[in-house]
Amino acid sequence: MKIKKTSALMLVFLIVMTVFCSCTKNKNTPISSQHYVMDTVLSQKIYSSADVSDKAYKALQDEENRLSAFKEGSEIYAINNASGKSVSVSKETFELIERSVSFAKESGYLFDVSVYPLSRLWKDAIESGKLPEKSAVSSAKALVDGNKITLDKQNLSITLPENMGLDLGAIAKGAALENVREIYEQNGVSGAICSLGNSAMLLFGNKAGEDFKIGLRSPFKAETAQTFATLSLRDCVISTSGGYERYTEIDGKTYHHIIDTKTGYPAESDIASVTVVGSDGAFCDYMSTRLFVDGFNNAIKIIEQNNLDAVVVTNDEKVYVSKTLESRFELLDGSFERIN
Amino acid sequence: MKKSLSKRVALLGMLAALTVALSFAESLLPPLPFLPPGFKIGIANIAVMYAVFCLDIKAALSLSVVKSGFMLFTSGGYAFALSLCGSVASVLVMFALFKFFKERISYIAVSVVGALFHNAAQLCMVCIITSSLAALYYSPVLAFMAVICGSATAALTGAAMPLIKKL
Amino acid sequence: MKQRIVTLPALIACIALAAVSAAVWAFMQNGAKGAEGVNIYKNGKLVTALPMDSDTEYSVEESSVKVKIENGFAFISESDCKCKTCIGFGKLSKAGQSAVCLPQKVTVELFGESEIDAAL
Repeated sequence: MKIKKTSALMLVFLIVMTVFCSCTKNKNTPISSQHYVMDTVLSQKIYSSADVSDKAYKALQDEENRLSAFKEGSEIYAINNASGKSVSVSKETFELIERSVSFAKESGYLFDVSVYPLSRLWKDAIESGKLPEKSAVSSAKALVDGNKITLDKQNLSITLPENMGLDLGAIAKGAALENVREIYEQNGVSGAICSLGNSAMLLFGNKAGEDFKIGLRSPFKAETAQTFATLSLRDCVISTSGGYERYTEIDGKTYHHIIDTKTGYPAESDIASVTVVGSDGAFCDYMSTRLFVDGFNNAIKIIEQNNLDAVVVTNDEKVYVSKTLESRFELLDGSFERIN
Repeated sequence: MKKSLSKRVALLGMLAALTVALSFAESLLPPLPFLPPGFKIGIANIAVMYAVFCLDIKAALSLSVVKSGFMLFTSGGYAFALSLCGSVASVLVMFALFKFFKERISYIAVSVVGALFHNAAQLCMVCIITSSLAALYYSPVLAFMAVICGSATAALTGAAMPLIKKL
Repeated sequence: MKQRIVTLPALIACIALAAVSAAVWAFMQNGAKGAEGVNIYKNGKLVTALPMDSDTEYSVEESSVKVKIENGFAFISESDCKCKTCIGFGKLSKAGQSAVCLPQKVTVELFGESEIDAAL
């Protein structure tokens, strides 16, 4: 009798203990994968029985081969080296360039995909560690003019004057995420989060349909990737732009990768980082870049006029959150100050 | 077991001194590698256990307070709170077992169950204070230690019992 | 009947419990993966998430606790609490492990899968 009693008690205790231990472990595991493509990390977490992460990766590789200005054999490369002749491109490429041109017009050419001469110049500078000559910057700047891109919809061809060039870097990742979304949807993925560099696409929600939690990195502690806030989101695309993402130090000064087409130099903005949330990848990618270059006051105007979902962080650690995102935003780091 | 008041006071005083001495000795030990820090093996419980077996619940609880109170000076406020919590929980459980089973239950059973509840109570307190379940990760270690230390305390108490009775 | 120190059923139960706890612990340690990151909580609220692969020192706000990540280990490096138990937790590297400073109400928890799904 005694043995039975004590054994029973012990069993109950053990069960309780095991339950407690498993509380500290995590539930529902997604299929996680990481690949390197488009000069950045592609990270996927898919809630699905099918493993479509390789499909997505291949699709992005194809897109990179098609759209990269710096890859010989890509359609953009062909356009840039056509010396003024028109080049036929695929429908997708044409449509992306078409959209880019309308974004450029809308932004007053703060965003301009004909920025290739400048981006090439600064890419070389970052690699060599030497500042480009002022004259080189001026001549490159003169070659940046979105107005001079000729689109022929009938023939799906693009024409650029000689020495000008296209660089779709500021919009390609966002556009690529739309492709990934399509692949996921076609393969019956029930929930996924795919991040590509500084943009991420959320399909539905995570396990049990909960919102995904996206961490916003502090633009001031970039090396340690500390999150200063989170956004709870689902079914959308998020893009962040900021000088802290890609930069280099030359002669003691920092040069980041977002070029101001008006000056020819990395944009000197009072914004440290801006995050845009929306339903279309290319738009979010473009808008976050554009708002960054435009500076804080203009950015707020545009956000409010167009009812955009955005978070803006200024260089002096102040945070603006658009009304629409308020309920989804949570500030973790107390050293940041909410403006609104 | 009834004793004259003065004998009782003297006995309690001695047990209190014993528990403090043992607690002090324990605080000098470095933290053991496999134990989460802050958790001691509980040699000071011998005095408390004696009170549970041979005296009454009031005595046992007062000794717990003395034992934990001492920790207030060596390790600070939180250590005191945790220690008290664990001690009170284990004393109550041990007394309940005693009352129910009287002499049919062995020292080792009472001691180990007491130790288990002591650790469980402390773990729960940590979770409440930190508002997090993270600490529960260490429950297997604490369960194991409860068995080992509970057994050791029971053995020591059993051995010391006749000696103390003679006093 | 005199009270016994040890009875056979009690002894068996104790040995069994000890064995099972040890087995559970061994199982947990064996399956435990290296942590990907650290969640730091103050008063039960998540204050930041840090990756394990980036050496850094983080000062938890409104407390004297400093958490350091170095060479794949996370640990509480500083705290002006009296007991220094938190520092005694040592250097952690596996998912599920945690360090706690009670007076400062800080919990440092290592995770393999984050509360945060992606960081931009």
